[in-house]
Amino acid sequence: MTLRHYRISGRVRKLPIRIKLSLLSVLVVLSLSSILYLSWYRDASLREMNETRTALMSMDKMLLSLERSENNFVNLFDNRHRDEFSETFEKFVSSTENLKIRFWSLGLPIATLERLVELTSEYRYLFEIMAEQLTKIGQNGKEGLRGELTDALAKTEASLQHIPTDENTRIALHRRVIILQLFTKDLLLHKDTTHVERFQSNFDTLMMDVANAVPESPERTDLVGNLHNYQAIFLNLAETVQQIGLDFDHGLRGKIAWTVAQSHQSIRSMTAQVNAAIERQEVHLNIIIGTLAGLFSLLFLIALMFLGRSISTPIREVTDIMTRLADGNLTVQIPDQPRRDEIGDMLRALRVFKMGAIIRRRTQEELRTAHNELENRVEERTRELSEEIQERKRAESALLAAREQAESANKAKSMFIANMSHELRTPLNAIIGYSEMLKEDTVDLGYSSISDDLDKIHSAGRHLLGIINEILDLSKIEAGRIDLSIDYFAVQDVVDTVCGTVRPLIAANNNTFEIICNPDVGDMQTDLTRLRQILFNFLSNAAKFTTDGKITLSAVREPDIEGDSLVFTVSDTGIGMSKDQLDVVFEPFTQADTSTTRKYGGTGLGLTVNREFARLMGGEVMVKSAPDEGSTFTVRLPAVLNANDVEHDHEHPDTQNGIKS
Amino acid sequence: MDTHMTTVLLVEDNELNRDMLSRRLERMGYIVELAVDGRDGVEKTKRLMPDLVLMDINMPVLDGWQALRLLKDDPQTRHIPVIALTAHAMTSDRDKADEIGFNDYATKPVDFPALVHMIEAWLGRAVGNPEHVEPARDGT
Repeated sequence: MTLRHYRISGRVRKLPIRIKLSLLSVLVVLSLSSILYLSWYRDASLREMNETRTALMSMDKMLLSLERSENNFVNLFDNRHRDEFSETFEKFVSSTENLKIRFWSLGLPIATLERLVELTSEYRYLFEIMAEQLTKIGQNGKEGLRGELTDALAKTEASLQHIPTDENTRIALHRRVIILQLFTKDLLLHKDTTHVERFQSNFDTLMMDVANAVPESPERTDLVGNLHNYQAIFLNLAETVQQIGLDFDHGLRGKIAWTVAQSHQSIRSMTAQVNAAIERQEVHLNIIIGTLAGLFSLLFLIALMFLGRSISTPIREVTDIMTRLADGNLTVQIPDQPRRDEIGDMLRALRVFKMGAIIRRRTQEELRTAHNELENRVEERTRELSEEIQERKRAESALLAAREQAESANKAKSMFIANMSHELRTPLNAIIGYSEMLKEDTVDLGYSSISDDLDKIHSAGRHLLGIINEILDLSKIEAGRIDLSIDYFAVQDVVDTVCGTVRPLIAANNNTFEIICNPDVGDMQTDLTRLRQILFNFLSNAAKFTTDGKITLSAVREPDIEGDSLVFTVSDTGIGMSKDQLDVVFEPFTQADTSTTRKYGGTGLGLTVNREFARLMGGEVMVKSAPDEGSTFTVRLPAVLNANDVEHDHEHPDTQNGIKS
Repeated sequence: MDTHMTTVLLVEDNELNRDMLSRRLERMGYIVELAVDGRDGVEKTKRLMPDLVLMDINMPVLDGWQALRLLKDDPQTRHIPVIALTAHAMTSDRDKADEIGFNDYATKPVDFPALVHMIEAWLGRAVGNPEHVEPARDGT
């Protein structure tokens, strides 16, 4: 533990971790760039050396072309080849200069190159001398020594014509002179020195023949003079030829051949040197690069290891401290030696945290004591309260039970009525059906007196059925058994349909009928059948209580922010109602009075049904009336009724089969 | 239309109603077959293959809904038009009739001329194009 603390605190003021990381990256960058530079250097120097080798090869070629020019000049004696030689030589010299620079930069030994330069200068020098000598000889029989020789021969031949002697002797001498001339040609052609000796011996013989055969005379002296002159020129020529060198082993030509051979030799040796240097350089640099890369990698790994340890170890220890602090161990010692790095920051933060934690714990303990006290008090009070609540709940559930009992009794009553209505209706259907049938028979058979009575049975049956149906509707509403079916339709259409149905009823009491329905009244979404039933009930009601009057139906849309409403109003000019009648007009079984029932018929339930339907559809019904001033019934319904707006009574058991209709 | 060859099956549990309606239909010239409950109705439909069925909804054994489902599930009888006879049609009944597949419905007590009109329309529809004729639906 102590060792760890020692490490964490560290006597050395440590560098921040980010600086360590930066140093590491600098190291990586440096090593990578040096390796890259070396690789580049290796490739560049190898390229340089290859270029040097190519330059050496081209110099060898130039040397060969120098030789070609030299040979051509010697054989063809054309100054063009001499110029060619000079030109090539200039190029050669500049090449050697370039090469010298390359050699310097590549660090190759320059001695051989210098030797080559010396040799080639020598070559040039020798070539120039040889060219001078060749010029001195002359190419054809008109220039140089050869020209002189031709002149001397011509003079000799001319003086031979004047010598005082016979023709035979002259011919013999002339033959010998021609033989001398052949030696000259041989000398020039074969460059063989034996021809000089043979010339001498023949010349001596010719001179002796002249002395013997030609008498002393000025002409003879002339001939001898000319011959000596010829001899002198020949010897001069022979000497020059010898100087040039009769073959490649002797004279100038020999020297030239040697120099050229030496030059080739030195170029070859330099090429070999360059090749060796290329190989050496490549291997050498590869080794350096490899070693450097390895070294840097090693260095990097070591640095990384040290860095990792210098970061991870203290972090592990800080984590250790933090874990223990988090576990609530506030006695952990936090070393307080200053460190400049992030670990130091963390330690400082931890110290602050620890202080905070200690304070917090103290506060918490105080709070806990207060809390416990409070809790005890609350518990006590809660116990008291819960007893009160128990008491109240008991009372409440008793109330609820009573209410449920009452509700279910009411529903049972409605159910009973619904079932009862059905049972009543079935025989009634038979009564109505048979009475209709009998009436058809009486019409067919002509028993018109019975016909009226049958009509009465029939209409009484119809009336009874109407009452039963309305009771059924009401009981269904009370039992929560009415399901609305939502339709979307044009208001104009429903008005037209209903008016079509009631028109005969209205006309029966000699009433006029007015319909006020603007085309812009629009569409509606609600239960179409119920709406139709409501309107039909109001209208048939109005028709029943109005005679020789006027009945009006109006449909108006009333806009509203919360949704439009549709207001249908049915007004008549009939008997009207008193205030007392108005108060109960929507209550069941309360037709204005019993006499009205007898007079006007009807069930007395239609208006009640209307009110209940309107409520179900989210609307309301209203009435305005006064005696003898007619009545105005109004129903106001929301224009759009959504399925989930409809109230459902789900408490009722067995909604499917409870009521048979 | 020649009604002499037309067979109508009347499925009705109430004896009086059955008697009354069958006699009135026979008087109109239909051949009327009778069934007393839903099961009887289904069996007789399959056996006799009537041109049209009039079916009460509230019946013992099998009610009208169940009987209709059996008829419409059977490919043999699916094409036969079935008119529901409902007492005081409630919205829910009417919707259910549409949903389950009654071709039409008439409210009891039946308006007899209207019922005859409806039957004729459906029979005309059965031989012609059933999709394009809309017989009167308002039985009241």
